[in-house]
Amino acid sequence: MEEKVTLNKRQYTRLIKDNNSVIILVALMLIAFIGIDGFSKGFYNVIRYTAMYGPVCLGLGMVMITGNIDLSSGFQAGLAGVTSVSVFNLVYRATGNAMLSLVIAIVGALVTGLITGFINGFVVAKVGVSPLIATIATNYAYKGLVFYFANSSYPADDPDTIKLLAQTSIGGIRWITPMAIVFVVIIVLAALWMYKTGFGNHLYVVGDNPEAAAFAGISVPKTVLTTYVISGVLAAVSGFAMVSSAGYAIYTQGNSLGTLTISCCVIGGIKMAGGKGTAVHVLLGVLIMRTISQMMTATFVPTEIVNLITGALLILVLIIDRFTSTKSADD
Amino acid sequence: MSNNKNGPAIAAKDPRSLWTRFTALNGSSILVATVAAFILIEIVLQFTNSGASGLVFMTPDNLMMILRQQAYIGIIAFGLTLVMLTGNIDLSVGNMYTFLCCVCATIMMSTNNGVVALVGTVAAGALCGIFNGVLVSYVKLNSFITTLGASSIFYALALRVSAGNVLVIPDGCDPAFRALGRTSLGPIHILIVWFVVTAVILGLLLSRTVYGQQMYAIGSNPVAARFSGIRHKRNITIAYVITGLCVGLAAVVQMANSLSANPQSGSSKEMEIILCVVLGGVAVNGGKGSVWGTVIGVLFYGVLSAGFTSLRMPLHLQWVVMGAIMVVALSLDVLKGKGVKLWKKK
Repeated sequence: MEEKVTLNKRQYTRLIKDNNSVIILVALMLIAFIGIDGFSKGFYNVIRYTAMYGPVCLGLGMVMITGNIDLSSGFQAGLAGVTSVSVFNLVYRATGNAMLSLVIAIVGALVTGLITGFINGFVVAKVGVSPLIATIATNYAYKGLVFYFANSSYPADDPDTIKLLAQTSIGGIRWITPMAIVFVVIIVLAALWMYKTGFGNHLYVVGDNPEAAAFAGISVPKTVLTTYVISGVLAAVSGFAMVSSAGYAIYTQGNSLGTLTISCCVIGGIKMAGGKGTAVHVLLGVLIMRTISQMMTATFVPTEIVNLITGALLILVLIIDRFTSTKSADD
Repeated sequence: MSNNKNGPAIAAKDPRSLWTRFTALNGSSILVATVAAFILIEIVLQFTNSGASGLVFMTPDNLMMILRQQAYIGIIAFGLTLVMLTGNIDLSVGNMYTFLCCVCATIMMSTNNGVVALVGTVAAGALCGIFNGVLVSYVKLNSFITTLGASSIFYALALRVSAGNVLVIPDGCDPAFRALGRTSLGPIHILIVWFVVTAVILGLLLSRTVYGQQMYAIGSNPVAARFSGIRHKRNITIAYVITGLCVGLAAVVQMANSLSANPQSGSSKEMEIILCVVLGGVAVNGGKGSVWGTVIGVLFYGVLSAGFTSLRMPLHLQWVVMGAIMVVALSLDVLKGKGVKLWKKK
């Protein structure tokens, strides 16, 4: 039908369409910095929270690029946080060495993430349960564990040590924390992995067309399993970051995170159908969500409005996507 | 009754054995699992509870109690069955339920009229359903993300309506309202009556009407259904509206029973409800399942949670065990579908 339209124009529209999160973010930032008084003063919070929630969203983004979904990422993070606190306390009571406890606590969190991610990946990729249902069921189990241990605040014995990662400012600048640096490294590594390596590219092939990927000799279960494991580990990084920022573990750290991570990915430009989006898109999504949240805090808007805006924005992004679609999928 | 909705009519004399036919039924394995769980919990209770005389857990009273507790979950699950049959999903039912509970409480506190509360809440539910349904079917958005967004919106509305407080309807409210959730018809509690009535109506709607058959067609092959002239957009919207109505009904009867609405309570109820529906044999991609299967899924869930409570297991550990059981059950179901034999038959 419109085959003769100049390719350049189509590429141009495609570029805008795939990267509309950039426009949303820039517009939001402009409104926030110019229109809201308290925003620039609290801007470091945007960066800190982005570094905190970024890893778990990035992990989910990878899972979504392969065309799967993970509803349990919130409580995977929560569970890793709980483990890190209990491991920290255990080692601290045994040895009294705070730094050693910190290192072992981080390792404990990451191993927890590895295990939970592997369980998810195994059930989805190897057994073949629908990812939506499988992760709802595992989420139930992880949630139970988190609530069992951290139904109220579950404090670390030496909160100052555990807070080192998320609460120290490097060079006196409030938004450069060790956690922010870790997150930047993770984003760069993930972007390079997904762009430059063959295995990283497999994510897109699998997400675009699993059958074709299988015929091309890509092991689809192996790829999907790997993304779930990475997602679990990255969720654990976030889980530890949340504990590190609070000094204790509590169930609320995982509670609304499941929805939040999916919102971040979708608003950033990852498609449910898979095969679309990059690590940078996830970063944009998290930044957008955190900017909105910080705008609400700066203007003292009640918290429920954040939920309202999140929901409305999710649907809006889908609608924009639907009506700017270059090819009509059906009908 | 044929168990293969999409296949050719099954001949009057089925050569397969009774057991093969039973295992081919939707939700048959979960029915076996439910009965097994029932018996197992009874045995454990008999051993741990040495002073007990006769049955402890497998009593009609206990079964009634389980049904009563799960009634509102069940009513919502029946509506959701319709949506999931078409291959879509509704993740907003949990927060929609919370929102409608708050709506019901607010109406009761301002008008103190049971009929107004019933009609108002159910109508609000229908509106929520229309919102989801139109976005999913007419605007053609992804149902997962759309209802996730709607869930956020309903949660915000619930907090708005209740101002974040637990809403309590005074004890001396309209007796007609109390009757919706606190009377009993003979030995049967009114909540169970609602549960059964909803199941029968929606079950017959699916198995005995053209609309029901079209839902299966849409779920098993949306493109073929569209080409054969089924008005899929209208049908899917109706499914969402029915879900909204069910959530409204569940909210009213549960509010009439408990008289208090907690805006925080609905969080992640949708997870339990979806699990009940899937355990009952509804395929996530649509086209397979029935309301009868969902009844068994709800029963399974109810028996397990009541059993764990009888065994004095802490609530949060119950979630862990439940999650693990769900994962195993779903995995076994998939493996069975793949034809993997877990044990060799001699």
